[in-house]
Amino acid sequence: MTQTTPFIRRFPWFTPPSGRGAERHAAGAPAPSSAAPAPSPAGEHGPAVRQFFDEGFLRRLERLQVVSQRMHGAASHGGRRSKKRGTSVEFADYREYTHGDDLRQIDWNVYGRSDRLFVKLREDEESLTVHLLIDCSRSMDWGRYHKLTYARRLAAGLGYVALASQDQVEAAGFGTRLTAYLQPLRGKAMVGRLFSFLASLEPAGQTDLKAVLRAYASMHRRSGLAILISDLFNPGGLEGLVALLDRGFEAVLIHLLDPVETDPELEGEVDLYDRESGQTVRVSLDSVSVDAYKRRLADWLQETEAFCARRMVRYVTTSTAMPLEELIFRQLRARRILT
Amino acid sequence: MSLLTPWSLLWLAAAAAIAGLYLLKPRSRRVEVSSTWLWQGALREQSARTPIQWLKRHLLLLLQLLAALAGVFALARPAFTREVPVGRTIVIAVDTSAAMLATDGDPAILAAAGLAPPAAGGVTRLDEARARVLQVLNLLERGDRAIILALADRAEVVAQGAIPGDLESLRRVARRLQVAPADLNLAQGLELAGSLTRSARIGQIVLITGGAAEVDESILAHRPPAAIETVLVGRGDSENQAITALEARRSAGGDLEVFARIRNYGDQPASGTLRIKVDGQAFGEVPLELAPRQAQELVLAEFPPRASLIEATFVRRDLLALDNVATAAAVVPPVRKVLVVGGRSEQLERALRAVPGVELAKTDPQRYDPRGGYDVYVFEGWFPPSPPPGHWILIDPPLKGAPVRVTGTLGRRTEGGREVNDAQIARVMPSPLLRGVDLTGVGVSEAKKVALPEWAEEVVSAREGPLLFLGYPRPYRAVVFAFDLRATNLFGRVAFPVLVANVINWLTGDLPTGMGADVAAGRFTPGDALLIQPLPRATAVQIETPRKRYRFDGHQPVRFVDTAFPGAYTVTQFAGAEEIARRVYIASVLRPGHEGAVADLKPRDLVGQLETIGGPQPAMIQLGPGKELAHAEWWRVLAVAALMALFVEWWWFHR
Repeated sequence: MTQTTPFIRRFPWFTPPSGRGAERHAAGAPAPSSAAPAPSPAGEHGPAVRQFFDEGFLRRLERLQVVSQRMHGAASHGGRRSKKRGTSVEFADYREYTHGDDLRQIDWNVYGRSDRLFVKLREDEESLTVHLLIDCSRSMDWGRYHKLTYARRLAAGLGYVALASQDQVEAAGFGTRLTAYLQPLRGKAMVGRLFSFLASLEPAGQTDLKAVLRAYASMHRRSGLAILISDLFNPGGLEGLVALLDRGFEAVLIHLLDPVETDPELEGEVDLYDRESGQTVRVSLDSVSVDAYKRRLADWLQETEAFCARRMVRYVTTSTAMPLEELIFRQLRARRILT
Repeated sequence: MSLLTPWSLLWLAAAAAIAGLYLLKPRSRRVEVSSTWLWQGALREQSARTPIQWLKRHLLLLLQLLAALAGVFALARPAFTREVPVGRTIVIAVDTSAAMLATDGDPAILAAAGLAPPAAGGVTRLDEARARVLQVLNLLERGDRAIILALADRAEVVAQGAIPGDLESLRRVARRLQVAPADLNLAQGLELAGSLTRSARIGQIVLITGGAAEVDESILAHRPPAAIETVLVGRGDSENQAITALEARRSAGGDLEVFARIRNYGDQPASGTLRIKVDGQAFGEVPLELAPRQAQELVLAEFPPRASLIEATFVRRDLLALDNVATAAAVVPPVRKVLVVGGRSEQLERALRAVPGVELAKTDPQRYDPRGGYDVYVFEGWFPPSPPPGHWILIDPPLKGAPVRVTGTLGRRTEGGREVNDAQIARVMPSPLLRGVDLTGVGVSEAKKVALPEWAEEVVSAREGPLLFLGYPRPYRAVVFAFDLRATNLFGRVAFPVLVANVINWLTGDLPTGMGADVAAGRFTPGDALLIQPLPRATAVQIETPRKRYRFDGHQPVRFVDTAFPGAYTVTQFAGAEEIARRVYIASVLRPGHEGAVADLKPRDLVGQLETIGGPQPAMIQLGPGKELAHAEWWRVLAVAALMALFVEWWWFHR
């Protein structure tokens, strides 16, 4: 791979895949021989959860929180303070502990007296609804590291962070249209449902971001933080983000690309088969045409970044070659999407 | 431009094959990508920027076709035709015959060549020839090669070299060219010159001659294929008179008579005086008036009884002084002592006595003295136990004790009811013994069957063995008759005394020398070697040349080579202090019967016709161009282009 191209300089996360990189990429994935310590954050949904992460990774995720740059209308109380209630932090009520609640919120004094677990509710806390929108088009069903799998795990991580923070989580998979939708979930007890939903996402159809996001926006009266995970291979599809923003959504766009897409190693007479559309294009490739492709890709990424910047959309490009741990614990925190 | 091997263009079919294979080859492979959207955009953009995308797509084909075309045209060997400089081989054949001493050379040519005229005498044709050679050398260019040939009775390469390295040495040789005392053998000279130019890419012969030579039409038919430019030197005058013959002989009464012929080769009448010297002393003068191109013959007599050397000089100023002097010697046959041992016939003795100069003695085998004292021993039916100390003749070899092996007898016998004679003459070989001998009708009734010795060569033979042979059983000579003379009919024939005289003369005579020699007449060509065979009795040989005297002790054969000067060469043999033989040989430039080859100075028309190049003006020597049309091939460029195309194709494919 040519390390000196402008594209690479601008997007340093495009690291060449290697054996060591592959190992890093596997970090966070459940270790086959790992013995999960009790109590398990996965709870009774352990199998579905462990499909994505091991226990240690989940524990690390629990220390994170999704960052919202503005408050949205609370559908229910959550683990997030509301600015609408002033700045005082006052006790409001108890509610019985349910599986998945933050153990830090347990009132151990009440427990000592009544031998029952109660969670303290604060007067000014309200929940954030995190919308996980996962591109399930056929172009995501491709790549050296399989982009859809990467997207599922990324969405699972983000969803787990949100649920662990008492935020409400909605999820949807889409291609040409919404192909799967998960009702709002709250609390860590819902992690299994979330993960099962994500695991059930299947690739289908072409991406039609504009139509899908418009439809998704129209479905919701209340706004929230929409996290769109997609490869964006849909010319003009970004306009769909405008529909979300118009609805009051705060948007995060995670642009997912495979290393083969950023650094194609093609030459000669090639019949390019479009995974998404099923069309074939015969081209004669050489270093010049590959360089042209890379320039085109870089231009496209710049355009997308500029588009997002104009509309206060937090934009993150990432490669499936980047280990998920690195993305979540460093990149997304650095971009103030997680804290 | 032309193609030297145009049939190689058939390989162009290979280019068609390459194109066909390229079209048939499945070039593209199916590659799955997530989306072609970016690819289409990028390639559309690139196509818009570079309109030669089609060329790039098919660059491999184009490079392969280019390599194939370049290779095929390289095989066809394309070439331009152009003039290229080529080193010439110029053979400068200079006539150095005696006629080149004619003093009608052009002084202006010498001056033009930077040569000084001779201090004495006129400018000879050879002087002018030297100047002409220098002119030719000045015309040569770098890379040329020059060969200087001296032509007389034989052709000789006197110098050769390349220009400019050897130019000075060639000039030195040209200035030192000398006349050979002989006439011009132009045919041989041209043959040698032609052979020297045969291997040259551009060969030319420049023939510089006075034109005096014996030539006939064949010289034109057999002239060498190289270009010839003939440069005639001298004014072409023929104002020359020559003593073309001077012979001395003794009459039956012992008086000396001298025959002289003086010819005027000029076109004008000539008058002069013939002065005669006898043994170096003035003897008399004869005034002569010679008509144009006519000869006058004289018979001079009343010489002193013991006169032996006659010298004649025609006093008149003409172009060639060389042929105005002639020498003749009165042939005095040497005394040859012959001993006949066991003579059986009177006829043999009479024949031996008839040979001039023979002193005959006779004895029988019982009284034979082996100590010698004779030049020739004749044995009939007997041979001494040891060979005699002189030449010998063996007649009718004995069965035992002979120096030749007798294996039987030849003669009349009956074979198959028929009577045959296997002693009859069956073969006669050319031999000095048979000069003037007519063997027709000679019959041999009986002969010894003799094995031919290694030292002998047969002269006359029967079917199964030699009858007469000669040889060199060193240190003397021998002649063997394998039959009894009485068993033949030779005695009654003229051939017998002639044969005996030839045998004696061959045994005691000198060996032949060069081509122009006529030893019997005592004449030879200057420069030829004289091989003197002393008599067995001789103890010393003295040779007196026109300039010097030599003495050789012993009676071994003498090969005498200091014969370059014309004139008399007197050979005297001594037995102790006694002079036993004296012979005078005349070295003469004028060959008998071919005197005009030197003395007739007028250029022959045929010599002028040899010219194949050059202009009508003989003063301007012209050489052929040192360039020739050649094909400048440039297939190497195409081969390199083919290799480069293949290399680029390889690189493009593997990049």
